[in-house]
Amino acid sequence: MELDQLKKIWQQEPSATKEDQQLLQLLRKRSNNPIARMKRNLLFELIAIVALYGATIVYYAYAFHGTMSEISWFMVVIALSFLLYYYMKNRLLNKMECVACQVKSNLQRQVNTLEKYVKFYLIAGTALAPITIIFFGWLFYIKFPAKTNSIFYLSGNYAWWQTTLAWLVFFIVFTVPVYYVNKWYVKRLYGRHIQKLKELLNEMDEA
Amino acid sequence: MQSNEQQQEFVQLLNQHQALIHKVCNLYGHGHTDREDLFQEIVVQLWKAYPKFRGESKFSTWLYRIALNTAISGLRKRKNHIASFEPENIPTDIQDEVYNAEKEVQLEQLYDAIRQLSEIEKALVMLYLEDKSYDEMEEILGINQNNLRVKMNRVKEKIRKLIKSE
Repeated sequence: MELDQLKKIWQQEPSATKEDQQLLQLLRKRSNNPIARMKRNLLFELIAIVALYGATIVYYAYAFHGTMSEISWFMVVIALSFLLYYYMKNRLLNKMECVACQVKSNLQRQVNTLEKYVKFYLIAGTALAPITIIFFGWLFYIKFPAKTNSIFYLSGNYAWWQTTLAWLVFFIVFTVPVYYVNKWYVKRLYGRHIQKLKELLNEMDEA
Repeated sequence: MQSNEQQQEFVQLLNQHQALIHKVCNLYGHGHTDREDLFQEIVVQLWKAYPKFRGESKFSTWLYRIALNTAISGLRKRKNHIASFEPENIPTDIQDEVYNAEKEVQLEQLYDAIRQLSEIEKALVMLYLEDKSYDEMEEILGINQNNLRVKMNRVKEKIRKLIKSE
């Protein structure tokens, strides 16, 4: 059977058709593609963060007669950073897709934006560890000044380089595992998708 | 939110090109439910993009881009089985004598062969079967024509072999 003959058969193939009413109903459905799902997940994440942080902020503002209100302020700063983080993630998601573009340029755009998205996710997630350590170190310093003669504070008991080294080790011990956990997590979420998109692009490029 | 008039106009255009969307779904969908989901997703994407359609390219070119982009980068989970063409899906009133049983078998073989190709090769074969020119293929896929010709020769040969081996 020659391909030209098959071409004719293909072109004559009758197709099941949907009625106008069925098509109109489809127009009201929501998209289920990966980017639409990522946008929905982002919104759920935002709602969860606002609820969780909101409750914690209120709790620490009033609990313990307001003596731990610094935690509330810290959470406010982190929550505001989260809002910026969600805004930037949402902007990247909006840029990620151009369904009416050529297939190759759409794939290229998805790979580039998704890689930026993953990088941003990784940096923001990892940065949270040292920021939290610094805050609680400072909080401990102002709340329990009598106990700040440890190696972590410049109190005259230890040289500056010993204190710096202690903080450095502390940062590394907490931040490095957070980095690897985040890396594993983003790879699990998006790694296969990015890999598949890259394979498709390579296939389009190779002669 | 688009107006009712726009909806009617869009549905009318969709009706003219419905067969094309069904063909994309038959090639990229894995089983009946997946094909239905893909059809829905393509229609949703077309409807979302419709307000920005300015007629700079042919409607069919625009539709091919959206349908193929949705099918290729949607990356639905691939089932292990190779779904075969299901002639029972064709409404009985259009299964006339022109479209006879022998043709059904040949078409089934063609579908089975195409389903063994990669996502990009499927798109190439589909555009070839739809008699699209290399200019249009380039406009839809974004692959330059020299590269397209090389790929097309290769994929046609692959299809011939696959059909012979069945």
